[in-house]
Amino acid sequence: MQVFEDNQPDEGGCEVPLDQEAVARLLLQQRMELTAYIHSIVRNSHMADDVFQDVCVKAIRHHERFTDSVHLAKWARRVARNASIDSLRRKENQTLLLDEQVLELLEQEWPEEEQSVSMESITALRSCMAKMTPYSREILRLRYMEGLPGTEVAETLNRKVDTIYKALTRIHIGLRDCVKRQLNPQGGGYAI
Amino acid sequence: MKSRFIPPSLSENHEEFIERALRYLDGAADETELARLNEELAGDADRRNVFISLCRDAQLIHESQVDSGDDKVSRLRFVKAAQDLAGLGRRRIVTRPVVAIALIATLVFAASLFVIQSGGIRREIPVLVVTEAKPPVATLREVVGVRWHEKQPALQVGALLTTGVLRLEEGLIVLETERGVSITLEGPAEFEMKSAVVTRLNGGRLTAQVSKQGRGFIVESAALNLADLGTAFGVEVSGDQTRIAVFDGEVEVDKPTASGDVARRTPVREGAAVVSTVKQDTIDRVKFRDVAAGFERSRRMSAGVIEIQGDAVFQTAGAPEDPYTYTDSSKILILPERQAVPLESDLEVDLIDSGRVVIAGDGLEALVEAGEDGIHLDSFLVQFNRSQITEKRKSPAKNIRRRGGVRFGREVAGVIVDSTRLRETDDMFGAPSFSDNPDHQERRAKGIGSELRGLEKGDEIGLSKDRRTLTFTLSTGGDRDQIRVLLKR
Repeated sequence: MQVFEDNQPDEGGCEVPLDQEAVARLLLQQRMELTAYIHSIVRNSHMADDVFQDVCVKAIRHHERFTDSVHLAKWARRVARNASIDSLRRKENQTLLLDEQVLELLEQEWPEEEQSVSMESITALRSCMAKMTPYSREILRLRYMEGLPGTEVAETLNRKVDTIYKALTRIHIGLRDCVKRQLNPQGGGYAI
Repeated sequence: MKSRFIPPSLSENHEEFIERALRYLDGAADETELARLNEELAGDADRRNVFISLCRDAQLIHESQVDSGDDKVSRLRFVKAAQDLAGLGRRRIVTRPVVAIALIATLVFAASLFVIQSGGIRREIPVLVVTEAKPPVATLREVVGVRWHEKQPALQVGALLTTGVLRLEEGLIVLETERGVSITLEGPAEFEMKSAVVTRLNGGRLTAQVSKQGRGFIVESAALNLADLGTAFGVEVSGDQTRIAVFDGEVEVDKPTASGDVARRTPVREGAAVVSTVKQDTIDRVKFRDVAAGFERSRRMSAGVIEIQGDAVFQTAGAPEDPYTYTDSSKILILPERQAVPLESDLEVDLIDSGRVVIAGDGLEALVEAGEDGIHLDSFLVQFNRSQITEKRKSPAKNIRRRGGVRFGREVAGVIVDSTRLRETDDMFGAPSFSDNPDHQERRAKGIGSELRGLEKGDEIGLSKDRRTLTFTLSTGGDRDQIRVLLKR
């Protein structure tokens, strides 16, 4: 069920609507966050980019509906969710989806904006990746740069599929741990 | 209000769940795994938190991996740049080139529509805006009276365009390619930018003004292909027919072949026009004037003039560049002179600020600053001729007044109205055939003005607040009146 129509009226009262530029800036601020959210549904980088594009086009077109970033982010996630599901339905092979109830919860709990993706955290991420073994780096490269699914990463590296997923799991845990240690986020900032 | 999201630590306790989530995220989870994942996510906020973190981390890793090459604009830098921009507000930003590109893209994003096209999925109607994966090939410089095709999202001035198709039902748009080619498209039209160099016109009318840097620019169509050799030309595609007129310089045309091989090329020079149809094997010469007449408006826009008002007229296609060959005093003539002239040191001019000036005889003085890195300027000449001497009239008529205005596509950097300054800037900014004319060179070498060319007492000029519209009220004196207008590129 799609519960949020594009033309749903503003809930706000007399607040000043955002202009196109402000909407565009906010969307760009939220780009990584929103793309990650879309990707969690469509699970394909190109499709995620495409859905993000559609959301941007709609948002900029209807910029006068938004009064602040929270409002925009909420709207964008809902439209992105609907657009993602529509895109998946147009693709025959991708029918396995998280339950609607789960998608709803994730939508509500997803961070509203990209929180402090600072150059420090990016540098820390790269530094941590540089410390990884060549094998781990190659897995990351194949999975996230080449966009290969685990089965094809396994095939490329002549490993079992389960081995690859276990390795990826360890890599994620290790990376987060490493970055946190590097940044020592006493202030509760976002470390990757 | 939502609480701030704090990414959780991923521990070994989460290992099994993370593995399941990773399988789901690359589409490898089966129904059983999905059901389990649904159950975990629905009932456990901590798991949802971990799932969200995993998705965000994967995205960040993906972006840091994709953009690690030196030759690409980093998405991470793009994000950072966007954040900087969002934090700073719109302002001029001077920074490293790679970040500057991202910032430009950011501004364009703000001004138009944003399209991520990192390959894989090609949109039926590309909206044509930049990402690091799809670098810009052109910038939208002007939009006049446009009704876009129903499937073409409206673009705004300043949009950076990637490869793709543009469709408009009516009106004109001006694009400038990354290699300095100014293209005016007149609707109804369908135009494809295959790259910054290769384009295709499927229907409608196009004119192009090609700078030195843009030489080699190509326009394909069903019936004829055109390769530019440094020039200005127009192409019109109507049904299966293509007509080409060359306003300046020279182009080569050929018939498209089924194999894609290059067929025999036919040179078409300035002042000539050709036509062919899809079914025709030949390329026929036709009257230049007949073809060129259809391009007047778009040709003017390609040259950088958006609108002409009052008694002003734009130089006709095929007419000489030398302003001294014109004698008509019924109109104020606008002549394009030079494009992209580098200015490496400050230049004295007469006017740079907006406002209205009545020439009173005392000298005007202003400075166009070149800045540390230099700037590039386009030049135009506005000319009002003295009345002609005839058998009946033995001396030029005086006090004939004409009013007019020009709206340019770019900001006016400076205006020169003084005879001496006009003469001193002829070499640099005068039309090549004028500057290179031995008679004029000799006059300049001797330090005498070819005549009193500048404005005289009582003449008026005005520059609009946005510095893009120049208005003038000119009276004939003993000689012609000239104004040199310098535009920022």
